[in-house]
Amino acid sequence: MLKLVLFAPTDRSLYSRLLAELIVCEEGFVLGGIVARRMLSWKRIRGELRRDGPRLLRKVARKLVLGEEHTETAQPDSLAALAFLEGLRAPTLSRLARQHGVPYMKTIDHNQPVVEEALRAMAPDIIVFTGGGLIRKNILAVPTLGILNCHAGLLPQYRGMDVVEWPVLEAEDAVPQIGLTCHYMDKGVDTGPILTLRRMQVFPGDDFKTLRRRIEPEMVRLMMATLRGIEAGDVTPLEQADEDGRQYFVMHPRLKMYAERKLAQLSNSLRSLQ
Amino acid sequence: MRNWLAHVIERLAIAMDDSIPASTVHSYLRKHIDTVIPASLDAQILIDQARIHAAFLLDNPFSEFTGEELLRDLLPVQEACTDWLENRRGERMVRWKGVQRGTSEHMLALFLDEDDALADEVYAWLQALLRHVEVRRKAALYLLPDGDADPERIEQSQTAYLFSRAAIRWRDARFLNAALKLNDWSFPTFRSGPRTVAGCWYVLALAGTEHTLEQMTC
Repeated sequence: MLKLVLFAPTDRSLYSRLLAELIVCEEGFVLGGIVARRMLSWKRIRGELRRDGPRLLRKVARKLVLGEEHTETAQPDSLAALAFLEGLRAPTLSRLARQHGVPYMKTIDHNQPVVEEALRAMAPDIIVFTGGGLIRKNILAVPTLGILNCHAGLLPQYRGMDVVEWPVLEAEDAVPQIGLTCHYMDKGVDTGPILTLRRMQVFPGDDFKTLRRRIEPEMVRLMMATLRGIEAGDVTPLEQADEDGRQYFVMHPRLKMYAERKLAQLSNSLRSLQ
Repeated sequence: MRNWLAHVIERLAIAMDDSIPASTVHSYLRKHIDTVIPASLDAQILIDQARIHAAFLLDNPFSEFTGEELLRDLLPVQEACTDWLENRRGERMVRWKGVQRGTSEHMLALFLDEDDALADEVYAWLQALLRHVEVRRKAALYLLPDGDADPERIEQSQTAYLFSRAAIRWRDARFLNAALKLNDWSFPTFRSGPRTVAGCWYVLALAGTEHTLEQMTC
C-alpha cells in the first residue's frame, strides 16, 4: 500500500483533480493529503509573469475566463473527455478532498515550513507533483521514495520548457522526439531518476494545440501506470547523467513560428501518405 | 461578458509582448546601418567594422561569414584572454546577480580564436551564460560589482552576438533563442537609432542574429 500526497498548482486544476480522483478510487493507494497553491498570490503572479509574460495572460483567458478545458469534452482525445469518462464531478480539489475525507491545505508556496511540517506528519511514500513551481531541498527530503513528476518531454534529452516545440524545431529530417517521462524530482530541472517514458507520434493534421491536447490525458495515464508499477515493484528508477540532455527554455515567438511551419509540413506529408 | 474579458486580456497580452517582429528588425537595420554616428574617434574603427559586418550578414543570409577576423581586432588580444580565463578558473564566472565587466568581450575573443584545447571550457561557460540570461531575463548581465548602464548595454549586445555565432558552431538553437530575446530587450534603448558604441554592438548583434536565423531555419 502506497501512501501518497498530491501537490497541485491550483485548487481548480483539472489534471490534479483527475489524478486525485483516480488515486482515491484505486486499491493499493492511500491519498494522505492534498496541498494546493493559492491562485492569487503576488509572489506567484510576479514570478510567472516574469517567466511567461503574455503567454500567462493567454493561459488565464483560455482556462479561467473561457473555461476551454471544460468545454473540450467534445474532443475525444482531450483531458476533459477523460475526466468525463472517469466520472469526475468535483469542480475543485477542496470539494473532492471533502467528499473523500482527505486532508486538504492551501499554501502560497509548496516549500513553506508549514507545508513541510504537515508533510512530516503525513509521512508519505510519494508526493505526486502536478505543478506549482520549483521544489526545495527541505520538501524533496520528506517522502520516503520521492516526488513523482510527469514531464511533457522525453528525458533525458529534453529538459525544461516548451519541450513539445523544441524537438520539432530540432528534428531536421528525422521524426521529432516527442513524448512524456515520469521521474522523481531532484534539485535540478528534470534531472531526477527516470521511471517510465512514453513516446508520442505526430498524426496527419496535427498542430501544437492538438499535440498538447493529446499529451494531457496521456500524462494522467502514465502517472497512474507508474504509480501502479512502483506499488508492484515493477519499476526501477534510472539515474540521469547531466551530460545526457539539455535544458530548454521558453521558445522565442519567431522560432515558434518556424517550429509551427515545420510541424505543418510534417503533418501534411503524413496526410499525403494516407 | 466572458468573451469581452478574454478580448481585454488578449489586448493586454499583445501590449505586454516585447518580441520584435522580423519586419521591424529588417527595416531598422536597413535604416540605421549607414547612419551609425561616431561617439568618439576611438569608436570609428568599431563603427566601420560594424557597418561592413552587418551589411554582409544582412545581404548574404545563406553564406558562411568569414570576415570575423576584422572583429577580432576590436577585442582583447589572445594572451590577455588566456590570462583572463586562467584567473577565473575555479570560480564561478557567471553569478546569480550578474557577470564581471568584460566577460562577453573575452568570451567572444576566445570563441573567435577557435582554440581546440579550450573548446569544451568555452562551451561550458557559454552554457552557464545561457542559463543566466534565460533565468534572469531582463535583469541578466548586471555588471558586478556595482552595475553601469552603458557598459552593460555593450555586454548585452556582445553576448547576443556571441550567442548567435555559437548557435551555428554547435548547431544549438537555444543560443539563437537567447540572442533573439536579448535583442528584443535592448530594442527600446536603441529604438531611435544606434548613436553610441553600445548602439554599434547592437547593430552587429541584430545582423548576426538575423544571419543565424536564416542559416538555421532555411
